[in-house]
Amino acid sequence: MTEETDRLYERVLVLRSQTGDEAAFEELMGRYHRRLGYYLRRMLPQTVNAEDILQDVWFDVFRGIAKLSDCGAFAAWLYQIARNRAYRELRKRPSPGSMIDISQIESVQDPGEFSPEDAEQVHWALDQLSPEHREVLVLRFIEDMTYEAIAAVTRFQIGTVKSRIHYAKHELRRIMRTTEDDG
Amino acid sequence: MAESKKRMGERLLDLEDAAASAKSPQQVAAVVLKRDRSRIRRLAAMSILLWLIAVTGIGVIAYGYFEIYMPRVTGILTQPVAPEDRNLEYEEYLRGTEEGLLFLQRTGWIVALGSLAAVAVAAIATVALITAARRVTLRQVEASLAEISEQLQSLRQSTATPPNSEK
Repeated sequence: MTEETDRLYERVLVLRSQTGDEAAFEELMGRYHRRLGYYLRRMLPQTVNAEDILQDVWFDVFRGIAKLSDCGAFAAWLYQIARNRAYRELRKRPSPGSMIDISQIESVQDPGEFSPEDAEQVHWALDQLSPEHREVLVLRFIEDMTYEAIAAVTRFQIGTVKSRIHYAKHELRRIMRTTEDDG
Repeated sequence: MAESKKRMGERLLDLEDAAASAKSPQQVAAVVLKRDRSRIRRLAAMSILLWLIAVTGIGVIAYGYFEIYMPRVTGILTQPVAPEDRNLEYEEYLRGTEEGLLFLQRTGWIVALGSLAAVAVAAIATVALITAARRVTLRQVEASLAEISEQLQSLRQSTATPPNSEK
């Protein structure tokens, strides 16, 4: 299936789910479940059972899908729901992760993309990032979202998203390099 | 670049899968659908119960007022008053109460029945509102389907068109 037909097929699945087709909803879940689980597990502290939150997110999605007006924007809408849930949980349990003031970081070299061979290190290093940086990188790596889609999920300006991704990559590289040096 | 990013995403997910003992999407879907069905059942039971309480409440109040309270008050009012108890103020009070009761007797049942009718209309309007919202969703679905059909049409045309043969 080409990317274009895949997108159309997904829109049909969303429409079928909006009319109450449970099989379509199940298929839609199958498409996103793993990636959404990864996102939530990276967003939430270890003390929170991400599986329960994941189930709650799908429940909210099932209840609200009929109200989704643009079926092409399903992914962004889904991650918005997941993000809201995750933040609600985080508010209950303040995370030790500190906010990084990106405005204080002077211009740095673009760290570039990560190769698939870096995956194991990236997977570990993601947990060392601040939640704000981790979030944009997970959306970029796992969901392969565009800047616009990430902006729609996080409700930030595109410029903010771009700079967050830039500094998150830089930070990730730094953590990976430090680990390599220590090792 | 995009392919490499996709591969990176897949590798990250594989690493996570090795560590996590997550439920399959089918299992979660079954739980979600079951939860939704029980939510709907609870909502339906709650609405029926609340409507019944409202209707019964109006009925009980109306019955108690018109069938129990008013006859008793009317009985007291129509009892003859001893001449030594009579005075102008008391008679005015009795006349006022009697007029009030007569007014309630004439209009009270109409108000009670009107309230019941209003409750019934409110119930019908709620159902109509839900149906209308459903129709809006369906129209939205129809519009999206039309758009998808157009896109499929253009996709079919682009795949059906033979590549420009160079002469």
